[in-house]
Formats: sequence, C-alpha cells, structure tokens
Amino acid sequence: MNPGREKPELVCPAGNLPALKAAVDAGGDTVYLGFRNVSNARNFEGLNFSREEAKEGILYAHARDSRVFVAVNTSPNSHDISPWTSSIDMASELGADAVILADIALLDYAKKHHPGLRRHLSVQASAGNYEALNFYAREFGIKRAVMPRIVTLDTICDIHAKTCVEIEIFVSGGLCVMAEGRCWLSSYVTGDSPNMNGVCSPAHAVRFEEENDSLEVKLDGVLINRFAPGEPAAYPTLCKGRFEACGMQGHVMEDPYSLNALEMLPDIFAAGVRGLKIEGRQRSKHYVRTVVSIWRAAVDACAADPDAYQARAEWMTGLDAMSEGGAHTTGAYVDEWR
Amino acid sequence: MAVNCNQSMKIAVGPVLFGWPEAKIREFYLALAKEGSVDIYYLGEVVCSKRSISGVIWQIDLARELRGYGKEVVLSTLAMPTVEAELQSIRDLVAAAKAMDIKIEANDVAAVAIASEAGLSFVAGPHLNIYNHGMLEQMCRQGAERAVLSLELPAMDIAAIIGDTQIQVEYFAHGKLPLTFSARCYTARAEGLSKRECRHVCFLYPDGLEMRCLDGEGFATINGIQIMSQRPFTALNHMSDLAGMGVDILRVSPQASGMSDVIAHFRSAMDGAMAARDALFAMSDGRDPGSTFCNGYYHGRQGRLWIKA
Repeated sequence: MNPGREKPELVCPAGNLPALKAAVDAGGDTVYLGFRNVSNARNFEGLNFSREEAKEGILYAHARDSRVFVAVNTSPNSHDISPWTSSIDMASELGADAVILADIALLDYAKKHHPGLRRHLSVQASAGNYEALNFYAREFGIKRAVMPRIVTLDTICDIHAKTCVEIEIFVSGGLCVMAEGRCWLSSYVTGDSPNMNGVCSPAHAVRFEEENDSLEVKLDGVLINRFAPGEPAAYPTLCKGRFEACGMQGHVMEDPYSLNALEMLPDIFAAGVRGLKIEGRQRSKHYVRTVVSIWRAAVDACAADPDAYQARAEWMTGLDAMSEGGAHTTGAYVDEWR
Repeated sequence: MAVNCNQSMKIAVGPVLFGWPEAKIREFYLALAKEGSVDIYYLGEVVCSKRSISGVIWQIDLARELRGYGKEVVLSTLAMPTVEAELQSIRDLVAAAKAMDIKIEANDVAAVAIASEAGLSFVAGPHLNIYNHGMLEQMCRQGAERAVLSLELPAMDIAAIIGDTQIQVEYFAHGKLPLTFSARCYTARAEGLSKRECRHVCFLYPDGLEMRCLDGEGFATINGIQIMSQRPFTALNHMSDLAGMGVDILRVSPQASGMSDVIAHFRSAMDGAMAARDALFAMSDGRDPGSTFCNGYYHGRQGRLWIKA
C-alpha cells in the first residue's frame, strides 16, 4: 500500500516545447505530452511534439529533476497499429519516465516490448473501481491509474485502500462531465471521436454565425449554443452547450465551468492520491506557467502544514482568471454536483 | 427473395437501458418469450444502480423463468461500477450465472476480472471499448466467448477486428444508441433534482427524455446518467453485409413500444420471407427511413445521420 502522507506529484500539461519548459520552470514535478499524431487524446492542429522536440523536452526536464510522461491514449484501429506502437517505441527510446495508455492492446504491446518502461492507465480507460485497477495491474503491470471524473473523493479513498496501483486525479482545468473513454457525443455529431481520433468537438467542425444580434455556435451544422451580445464565449465543447429539455433552455449537461480542487487539497492528500493532474495541453505557455505556479505554491503549503492549509484568495482568482468559463467547480469529487 | 446467408444469424434482445419498473421489465421479456422470435435475452441494469430497487435477485428469478422457454439468457452487468455495493452486485450476478450455467455480459473491466477469476465465460459487452483485434484477443484470453464491438466503429472494420479469433460477434443492430455515461444524472438535473435525491424520476420517461437544440431540432435522448441518440439506430437493411463480415448475432435494444414489430421485421428479413429493404420500409411505416432512424456509425460517419446505402 502507498504511504498516503507522501507529497503528491504535480503532473502538468504541455502541448509544445515552450509550454514544457514553462511547466518545469514553474515547479512542475512531471510534464505529460503526446506525439503529433492520432495516438493521443489531444490530437489538435498545431499541437504536440515531434521526435526531436520530445527529445529536447525530456533532456530539459531530466536536467532539472522533472519527469516526462508520454500519453498514447487513443485506441488503434485494426488496419494500421503502427502510429500507436511506434509512439510507444519512441517514448521508450527517448527515455520517457512512463507511458500513459488506455487500450488493452497497447498495454499488452508495451508490457511485451518495453517491460522496463513504466505503464500508467489513462483516464480514457475509464477505470473507476479497484477491481478494474487490480486487473490492469495483474495482467498488464500498471503502476498508476488516472481516475475518470465520475468518482467522489470518498470513493477514491476507498479505492486507494484496496489497490497497490497509485492514484492520479485531475485537479484543475477543463472538466469532462462524462466518463472519459465512454463518451461518443463528439462522433455522434461530427464523426470524430476522442477514442478513435483523439479529438472532441474538433475545431474544423466549429462555425460561429451572427444571427439577430446573437452569436450562434454550430458544430457540423448542429446548433450547440447561442450567446447574447457581449457574453463571453469559451471553446464550444459539446457537453457545455445550451440545449432544451423539459421546456427549459440552458446548460442541460454541464455549465461552462472549470475544475478547481484547490480547496480540497488536504482531503486529497489524506486520500492517498499520488498524482495531481492539471488539464490543458491545448493551452498556452502563459497558462501553463501561471496555473502550475499556483498549484506548486498550494501543494507546498499543504505539505508543510495540512491542518493550517487554506486555499488563498489570490490562488482562486488567479485560476478563475485563466479558466475558460471564468468560474469553477469541484465536479464529481463532491456528491452534490451529481 | 433475400439471400439466405442470414439464416444462421440469431436475434438477441439487449438489456433494458431505460428506467422501467420491475413489473414492466418482466412483462416485456415474458411477452417476447411467448412469441418465440428471439434467440437470446440479455437482462440486467446496465446504466444506473439506483434503479435496482430490490437488488439483483428478481433479475436472476426472471432469467430462470425465461430459460424455461428454451432460449439463451445472459445476465448483463453495470457499465460504470465505482463503489463496493455495485461491485458486489456484479459478484452476485457472476455467482448466479455460474450456478445456472449461463453467461454474464461484462460491461466494465471489473466484470471481466470477476468473471475470469470465477472461471465463467462471458460476453464482452459494448461498453468495454473493443476497437481492434488485439483487444478482442485479450478478451478471449480472459474467457470471452462472444463480443459486442464498440458502437461507434465503422462496419468495414469488423472483419479486420475479428481476424482469426474464434469468437461469436454480436452487432448492436437496432435501438437508441447509448452514447455516454456520467456521474451526473441528467434526467434529475432537467427536473431540478440531484442524483442523490432523484426520486427515480427517470421512471417517468420509459423511452428517455427528449433533448433539443435551441432551434427546436431534435438532438439526443436523456436517459439518467446517460445520453443516447435521438433516433433509433438501425442496420436492418445491412443484415446480409453484416453476415458476410462474420457477425453471428444482431442485437435489438428495447424501447417502450413496438418491439414485437421490430423483431418481426428482423425475423422475416433473416428468414428470407421479406427482402431487408422491404422490411426496413415496412418498419418505417412507409416513410423515408432517414426521418425515423440513424445509421451514420455503420458507414463510418456522424452517428446522428442516416446514410442511404
């Protein structure tokens, strides 16, 4: 079992080399990234790492005692598995500290071909119970799992007690309201999915149209939101759109809030969580530097004295200012959200 | 007449995905059993454990009763178990299935693990995300004897995924598509309630709650913690192609009404009594099937669309 009182590791996003350096410089213990292909769940245009960039990033991080995880967390098709397997091979060759995998075919590949490379279970595997985690550990030797955003902190505590697999949770940034890896809304509307294509509500399908003073957002021709004049419009993710149900119009699935678990940090420490993950590989180096700095300060303060810890007002406003909706939630970690 | 390569295919009725009272579920399955057109029955709560008011015992009793009609019965497990009570319900179903010498449908890796440890062969369900041959092989290694591939896969991928595995393949061929799972109950949210105090409000919507775009266009169906397609998917007109790809079983997913007719249309197309396209036309009440159904995923397109063959 994990000691539980160990200071958790801050796992930070990087969509490019400047963001990686910003994360390391701001005190990120670990940076996670993906290669520039279909193999990772943030397969966005203009994002991610070439082989040379990843090599430089890993050298930069290692020279400063930071680690690098490589996400290969979409599912391969049966026609050509090579973009996925070559990404795992490259992560191993470049000295990545772990690969983050979701598909069982890839877990099996990594175990057989790179037994010394640490394997983490991606949030995209949607493993939200200890039976699943223990299965992945037994069969494929995973050392850590990122929890889907469907479990309460109480449940995370219980899971931690019944598995040797380290637990990593999302604490900050964009919030999936569905169980990751079990959501096909994006392919239902646009034809492209997180699991198969590494995208959700892809930019190529988004259109903004002025209509009677209001701004309409369409995704592949489907109206998913309408903004009043002057109302701020964040990136149009499907599940945060406005729809109608029971005769009421509004955010039927989720408000456009960002996840922020700063106030829960002592409970997160006590739950034995090993990794605190910040979402946002698609965000700028400025975003990464600001958010990682705040979280570094908070984690250090909580580690120094968890009983005296309080989320400082400037941290909260700092994170709100960086979030897409300008407002925050603790999401599924507390029962009331449900 | 339709080509008769369909004749070795079977029809399965999937688990009821909506919130129905136990009495309605019993009545639904027993009525189908008396008609006798279905080969395989899946039953069990897949979506939300809060719906199983009296636990899994009644499902096991119903399974016994259905078996009396001489057809195969499979116990379906919960798709997103997180807490101990939910895991225990899976263990109970596995124990019951073992005692009855029937299979479970595993809809989460936890159920794969529990069935595999118990030495029980299982159906790898549609929520396990089988996208490729390697994953399918791993499921076989754990004891899967049948698999339902991911619903968003293009049909043209099916043969490559099956490859040389000796496993039965079942295709989700008709019904509203289960698209997501969440921690949040959207039916409760739409009714101004929370999941904790949901009052089983999903039971008011036996075919799910309609969700529209702001311009009034239909968008999707709310089913508790799940979002489903607005329209039922159907692959009735692609039956022969699916048989050619190696699909053994076609799954029809329950809706509140008209299931007997849907199954009859599938049966007559399968038996060659009616051409599949005529059966589809009849099932659409003579209208354009595209105004009633969707099939985009079959063609590797947007799931919400209807693509003419």
